[in-house]
Amino acid sequence: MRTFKSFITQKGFLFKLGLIICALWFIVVIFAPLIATHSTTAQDLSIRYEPPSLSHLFGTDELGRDVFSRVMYGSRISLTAGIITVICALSIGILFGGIAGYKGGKVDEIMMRFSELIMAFPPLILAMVIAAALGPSILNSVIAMAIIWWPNYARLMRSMVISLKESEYVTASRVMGASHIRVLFLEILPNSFGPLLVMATLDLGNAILMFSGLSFLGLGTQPPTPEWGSMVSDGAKVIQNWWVSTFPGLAIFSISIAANFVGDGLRDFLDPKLQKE
Amino acid sequence: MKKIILLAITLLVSLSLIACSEKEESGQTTSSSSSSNGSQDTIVIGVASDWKTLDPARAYEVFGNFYFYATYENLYMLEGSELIPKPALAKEYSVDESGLVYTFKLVEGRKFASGNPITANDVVFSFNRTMNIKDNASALAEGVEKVEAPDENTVVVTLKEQDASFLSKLTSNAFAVVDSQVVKEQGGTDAEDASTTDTATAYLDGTSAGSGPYVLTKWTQNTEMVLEKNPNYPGTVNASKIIIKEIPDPNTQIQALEKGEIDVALSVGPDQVKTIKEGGNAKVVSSPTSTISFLLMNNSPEIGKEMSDPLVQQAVRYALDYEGFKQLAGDGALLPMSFVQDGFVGAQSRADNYQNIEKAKELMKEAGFENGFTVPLIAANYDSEGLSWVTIAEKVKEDLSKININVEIQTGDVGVVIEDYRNGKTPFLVMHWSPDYYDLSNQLAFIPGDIVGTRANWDPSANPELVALAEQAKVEIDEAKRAELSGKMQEIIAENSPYAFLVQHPKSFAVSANLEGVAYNDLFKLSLKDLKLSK
Repeated sequence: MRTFKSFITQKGFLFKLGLIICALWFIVVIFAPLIATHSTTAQDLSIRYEPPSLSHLFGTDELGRDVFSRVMYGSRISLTAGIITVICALSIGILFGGIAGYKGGKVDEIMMRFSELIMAFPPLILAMVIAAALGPSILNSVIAMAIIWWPNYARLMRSMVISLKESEYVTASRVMGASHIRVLFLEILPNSFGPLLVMATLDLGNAILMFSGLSFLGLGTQPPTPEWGSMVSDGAKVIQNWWVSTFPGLAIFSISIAANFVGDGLRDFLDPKLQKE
Repeated sequence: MKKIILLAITLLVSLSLIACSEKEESGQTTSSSSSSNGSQDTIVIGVASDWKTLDPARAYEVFGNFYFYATYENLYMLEGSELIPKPALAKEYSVDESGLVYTFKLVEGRKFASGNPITANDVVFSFNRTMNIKDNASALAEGVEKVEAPDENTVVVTLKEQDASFLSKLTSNAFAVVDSQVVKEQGGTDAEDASTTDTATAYLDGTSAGSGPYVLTKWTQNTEMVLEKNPNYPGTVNASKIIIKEIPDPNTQIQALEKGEIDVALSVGPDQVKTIKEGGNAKVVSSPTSTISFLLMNNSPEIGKEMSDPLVQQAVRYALDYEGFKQLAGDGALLPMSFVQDGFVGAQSRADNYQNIEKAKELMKEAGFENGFTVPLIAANYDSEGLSWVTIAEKVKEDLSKININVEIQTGDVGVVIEDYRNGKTPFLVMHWSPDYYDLSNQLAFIPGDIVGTRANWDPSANPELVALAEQAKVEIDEAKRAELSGKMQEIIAENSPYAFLVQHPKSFAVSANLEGVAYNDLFKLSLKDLKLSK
């Protein structure tokens, strides 16, 4: 008991737990066809709404499809959409915030006001509006989410650039004749990557959650694509058949909380003040 | 360590929130259950209605007649589950040789809930008010030329042209008889400028002015309606009070019913009623409706592309698994042959084992699409009697993949989808049809050149024979001849049309096990006066 207690309270336990869950989900993403026991789209009306059993681990849905296989395949869509969203937002944010911070002055002023304009809207509502205007599809919801997410990275990047551009090694490389682009991307960027990475990891969970939210509202994937958010939505109308929405819901929960654990752990790890303690 | 505590606190808080919300729910409902179980005389009904107004001259909502049949009466009305008009305020009618002039004799000695006698003048006032108020309900009265009252007990209605469905139209709230004295006192008028001068709607939204078994004592839109027994109603009325509660979520309705808080869970679907356990204090009622789901395949080559090919259209009809749709729609679903639902004159059923993949493949080959093609299928986020259109689309995708048609489902908001459908812009679509009145004439919308026909870009020149048959059916008063016309049209549309009719939906709902007198009617849902709680 004591060893267990010390194990779960030891520094970095949640980080490790998060890492393990994330790793498991990545394995599922890669080996989904091997793990899935049934086709994700094959319908069999003779076994509608079967509760979980050995032949259908997570039961079956309205059209007699295997929920377990759909949840496994759904990881591919949710994780891909989450990762692409974060990468897009990160790229735009680095470019935008980097230029604003490095140039300073009026350019900075205009660019940052623009990013604040986007941040002024409630995120989910703005994402819904954009996704609805573009029409429901995976790509469009990724675009919508990237649009609302990049200002966070731009602000972080800008503040990093402002604090680093006065540092001695930057001045040194400028004196040696390095171009602005070289300084920005080869000197400043690598040194500000830690905080950006932490933020990206924390956001991965949120992005998956929001993507599921958009799909729940019918703005994400198109049926019969197995997507967690739309699966939860399908099950919500027959709440007595709990397995239809519970399992995809647990999948969303586990991956987003794991991503948050990893992000938290990374932050502690990269924080020099905490390390000294 | 801190984080673990934080996690634990979050979990605790969320759990207690869940517990609180459950408590709140049960607390809220115990107060109402005392009113429902306190006396055997009160029946509580859970619905998700669409009521916008309770003025019979204006309302045109799905749940409209559910209320109007409880509080008003017409000359002719539907009874039980049947769709055949029966005499109500009128005891008989006759039609002259031209087929245009209907003479109704009123039942003598009847009174409104207010105590005023029901006279022919009230009928004339009611009909004229509906026609002149020019609101949604007025559409059903469009064919009426004039209404007259030669004496206290006789009403003469003259039509603009022959209409075999006039008696069916008479059964809806557009022709409900209102207490003209009361309505006039409250600012109502039947004059030609009624659309701008009539101000009685606000009064009618709070109080009924009819002669039905109940009177309205309270209505709060989207919350609750209270009906009490009309002392002047001559027939048997079982429950002295009816409370209609708005419960939008079907799962909550089922839970409330199982707990005994309500006696009827009306707005639930086939999948929810399946969760009710047998032998408990709730039972399931299934009854056919006249709502029919169909696929529309646009006949215009520019819009419909491959789907406009008659051979492809027929291949689609052969490829669909109708038994599967019947199963999805729930117990009591029917498979009509084509556009005429069971319950209407001359209705025919689809032949058993109609599905024929081999034949469908041959037709695809003949059309030159042996290797198939890809087509978008539009499905709104909407449902027919509890069956989601998106689920229908998923099933269609599965069925059509067997004849190499790759269906790509595109979901959309129901408003947008219906707008495109009305403008005839949709290539391939999941839709439903729910009649406004219960007569074959209503179904003739599917004929080329008529409402739905135009939406499918089905030109009258494409099938003149069908158009001619429809013209005859509109005016034919002889039932046997009309049934024959109906049958011929169904056979043509079943083989050659831009539609694939999937399933006639049942209405599944649940009532408490000791409730008697439950008969579902597509027009007015439930006859409230017949409902009775046994001890």
